[in-house]
Amino acid sequence: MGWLRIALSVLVLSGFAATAHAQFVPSSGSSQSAVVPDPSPNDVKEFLRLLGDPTIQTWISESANSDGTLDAGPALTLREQVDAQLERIATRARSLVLAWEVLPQMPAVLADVWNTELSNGQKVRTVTYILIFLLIGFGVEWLYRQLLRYPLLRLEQSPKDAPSEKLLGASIRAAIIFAGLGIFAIGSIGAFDSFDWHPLLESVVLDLLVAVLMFRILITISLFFQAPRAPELRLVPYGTEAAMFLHRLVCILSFAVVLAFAMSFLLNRVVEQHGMDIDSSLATVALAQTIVLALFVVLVVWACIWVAFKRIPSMCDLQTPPKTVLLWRNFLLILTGVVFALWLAGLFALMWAVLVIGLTVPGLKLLRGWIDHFFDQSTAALHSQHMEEAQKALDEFAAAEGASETLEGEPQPNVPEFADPYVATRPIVQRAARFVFIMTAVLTLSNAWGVNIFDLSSDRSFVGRALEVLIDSIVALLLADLVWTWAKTVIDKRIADYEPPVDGQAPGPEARMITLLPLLRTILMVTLLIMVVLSVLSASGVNIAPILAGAGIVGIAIGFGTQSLVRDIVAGIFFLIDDAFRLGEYIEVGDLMGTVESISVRSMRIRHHRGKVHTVPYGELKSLTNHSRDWVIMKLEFRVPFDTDLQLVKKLVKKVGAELQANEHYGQSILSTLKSQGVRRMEEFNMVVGVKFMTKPGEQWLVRRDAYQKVRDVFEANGIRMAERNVKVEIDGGEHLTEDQRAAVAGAAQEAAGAPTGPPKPIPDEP
Amino acid sequence: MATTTNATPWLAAFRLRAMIVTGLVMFVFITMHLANLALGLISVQVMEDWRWALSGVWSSILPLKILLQVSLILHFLLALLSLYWRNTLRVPAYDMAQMIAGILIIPLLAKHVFGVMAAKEIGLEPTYALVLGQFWVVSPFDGLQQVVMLVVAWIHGAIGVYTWLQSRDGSTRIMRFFYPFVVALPTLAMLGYVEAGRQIIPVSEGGMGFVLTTDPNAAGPTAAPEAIQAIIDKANDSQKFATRLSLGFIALAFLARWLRLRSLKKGVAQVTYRGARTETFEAEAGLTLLEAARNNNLPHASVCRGRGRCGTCRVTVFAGAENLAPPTDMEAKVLAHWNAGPNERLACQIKPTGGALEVERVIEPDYSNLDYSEKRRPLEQSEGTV
Repeated sequence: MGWLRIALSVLVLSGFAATAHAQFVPSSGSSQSAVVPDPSPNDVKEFLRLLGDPTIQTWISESANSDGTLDAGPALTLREQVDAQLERIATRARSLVLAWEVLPQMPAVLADVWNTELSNGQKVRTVTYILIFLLIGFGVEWLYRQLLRYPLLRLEQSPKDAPSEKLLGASIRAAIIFAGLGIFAIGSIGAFDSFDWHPLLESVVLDLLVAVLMFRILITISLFFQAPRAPELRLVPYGTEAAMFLHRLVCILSFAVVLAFAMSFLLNRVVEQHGMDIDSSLATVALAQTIVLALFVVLVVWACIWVAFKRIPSMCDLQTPPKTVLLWRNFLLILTGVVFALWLAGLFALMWAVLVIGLTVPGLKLLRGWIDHFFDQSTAALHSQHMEEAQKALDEFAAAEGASETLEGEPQPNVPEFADPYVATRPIVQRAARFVFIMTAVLTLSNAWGVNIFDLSSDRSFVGRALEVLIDSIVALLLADLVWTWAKTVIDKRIADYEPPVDGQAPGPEARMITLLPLLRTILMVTLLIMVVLSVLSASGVNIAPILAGAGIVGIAIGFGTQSLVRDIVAGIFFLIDDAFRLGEYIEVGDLMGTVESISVRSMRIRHHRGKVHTVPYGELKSLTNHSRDWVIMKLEFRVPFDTDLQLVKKLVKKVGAELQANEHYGQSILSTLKSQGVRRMEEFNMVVGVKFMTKPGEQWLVRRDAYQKVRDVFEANGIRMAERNVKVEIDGGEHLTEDQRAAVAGAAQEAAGAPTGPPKPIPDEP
Repeated sequence: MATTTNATPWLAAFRLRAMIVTGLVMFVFITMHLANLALGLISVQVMEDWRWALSGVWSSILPLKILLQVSLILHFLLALLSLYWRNTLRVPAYDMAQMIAGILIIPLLAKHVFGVMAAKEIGLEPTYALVLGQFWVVSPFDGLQQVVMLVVAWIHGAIGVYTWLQSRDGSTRIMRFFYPFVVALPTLAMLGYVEAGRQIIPVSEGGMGFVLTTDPNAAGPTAAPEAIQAIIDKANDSQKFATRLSLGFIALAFLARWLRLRSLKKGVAQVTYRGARTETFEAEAGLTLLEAARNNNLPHASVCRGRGRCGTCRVTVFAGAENLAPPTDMEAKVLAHWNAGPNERLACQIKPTGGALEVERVIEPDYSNLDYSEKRRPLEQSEGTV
């Protein structure tokens, strides 16, 4: 619904601009009771000659102060200023009364001037010339348009969903049309200028040609946004009917405004040409006709607002309650009226203030709505595209299922979730647009008040100071807001996007940032807040150096006190950035081992596999071993007798490796399955056959268990014995020993070989 | 433009052809006349030297004179007829411009024509010095009127020729010459008119300017002074008569058209356009499909803008063909020319009267798939498709 308002305020804005600009014409006439003409080329030459004159240069440098500024005269007190203002209003009122009295005679006076200045023939000739040169311009432009006819048609007709495409298309189209306007201007004004003319005739014809050009430029701008004939390129969210209607309104309004300006310029030129000794009656006539033209524009603006608010709600089925619509309509109507009244009263600065502030409120709302619409459309376009893809995936899945070709591992169709890519961009664009809008408003305002905000620091008056503080604070706030919104949306989005790992799975690299982001956000907020407060304070003249110094001292003191804390935090940040460990990984720090259970700002918590929890501050970490990265190699050994067939062993191990790989539970985790490495070394009584395998971290224990078991079984089945520790006693003539003697010998031999003594050494832990 | 499905076929064919021929005759006349004006850029003397060759032939050689007059009258009457057959006044910008220009031509032209005729009757040769003096100095308002007339006539004629050329085979090559010509000639003519005026005006204001070396009018009018006023009055009367007559005829044509449309039975047909964006709208009975589509802001390719000549507004009818009248000879010829499929029709010729109609545009509205090589395939291929 905000859409309607955008269009309306565009209408109103152009109307206001006209009314407002028109002030310049009478202001010169009324306040000095004389119409001041623009300098003629001769005047300018004379001025330049004077500037070059050494005597004038000396005079200027003498009248300047030592610091190069001109004497500004004594500063006025507030009371004098008020008096001067009241005096100005009174003068204005008097000239208005005069103009009112002159009004009935105005047509006669103007006609008189018009007749005496231009002969009958000249007048008609003027029109003839205007017509001819306009037609030449149109002809050349038509040729150009014919040249680009098909590309333009293609641009307008090809379907576009995403607003970015629309914006691009509309911009290209606007560029084409503006180039056409340029050609029109060259064709008409250029052709006209290539002849020599009577000066008055020239200025009049030129004014009117420029007026036609201005009118067409305004219409092209409306075309750019509304594109009544090319719905594919429309940037505003309403239908063809409403677009055509509003475009027509814009045309009417532009016509009224341009006509008023052209008339005002034309009549003023004629009046100015008429009497070099301008008498006050002519000035009054000029004022009167300017008022009439301004009134005409205001009436047209009122009519347009009225009609637009009446017709539009039914055209684009607004959701807004009719009361709100009425409220906005009345607001705009009253605003127009107030601006006109202020203009009449000659309070131009106040008029600009009312105008700019009055339009900023609806303007900001419209801007917001427009950008929202833009992003909504973008998201909708992406969403529909995504839905199509998802539907395709579902269809394929259904087809595959129908043909019973579904793989067992894929019980569900693989449909990705829809993610809106503009979540982060939208608020930033909103803020940036708002920033630009408000800055434009402020600049317009200060321009209208005759204050150059870039020169404010040299202005020591109270108003100047207040304005400077205000503008500086607004800029600081808006910039801080822009940065804060951007950072906040980015951080929040990353946090929201984070999915905690499913039990048993190693967390992704996002996990480490999740701990850091909230901290970063807080730091950023505090920093921005402090910066804004400081810059506002500094702008308002408070000396912030002591605050900064104090903050510095406190900072140093706290820094010393919390040295180790700071060290922990900073070291932690770098460990996290290095990606040394993640939540859920099995690590070894010094002589501590365990799974990383939680990561905080200062320390981390490691849980030993037997349940002990270690808390380790980052500052204490020198080096860190991570057991959960990428892959693990495990080597196993088997002792077999010297007479074992190594070829067979190799074959058997290979077979076991294949079996392990085929296992449904951990087969996936085996990166390189069990294989024999041959004889690793010879020992006293046996050979050591080495085997190894590679798995994902954490899976090696299970695989090892099965590998041992399977290898043992398969060796046994194939008659390969594991070597056992045994002692062979050879006794010369031992075949004569009795059973008792044999037993005694065996016992002695066993003793000699040395049976293991004491409890066995504990095997190192493993989780 | 009007459809003539309910008129006799030979009349329709004759109308189209006669319209083009008479229009071309007048276009040639205007072209020569404007070329003469353009010579003013060099000097009024050159204009005058070429006057007989470029303008005088049309009034001094009798067959040409008769041809021009017959063309004017016939073209006007045929235009009235097509006005009568017009179904809607919501027409494309070119048609609207052509129509308004056509209505304005005779009222604007009459003064010039009868003025020149009166000058001859008085015994003055209508030299450029004389006529330009009249237009720039004596009554500049008439001069303005003539500029408007020139523009209006040229726009009317140029649109007609443009449309005719575009729907002909091999138009692209001709258009390459036509485009610059159609802008350059009136531009030069107007600049010539301005430049000649700048040479003529100072003479009347007592300054230095252009004077013909041998002025045939130096001796003044040959007619008796008392007869001059009568001649001028007569010219004025004839001019007023011609203006009123033409406007009266046009008003009559509009009235007759209004009566014809009022007597048509009202009905609504549901039309669906397939395409990248499928659209459905209700078409009033009495309008052709093309006009109904335009009324509903649906873009449609149509080079001849509904005259049934170019065949670019072809649609494939998917449903509702039984509610449509069979193609006339003219339509069938165009369809055969394009080697069109059996269920293709011209949108500018079919009138949905009721029920549902489902169609798809054959040529995209941006002409991206317009391929002139499809036109005029060997006859043995296209035979039987219609």
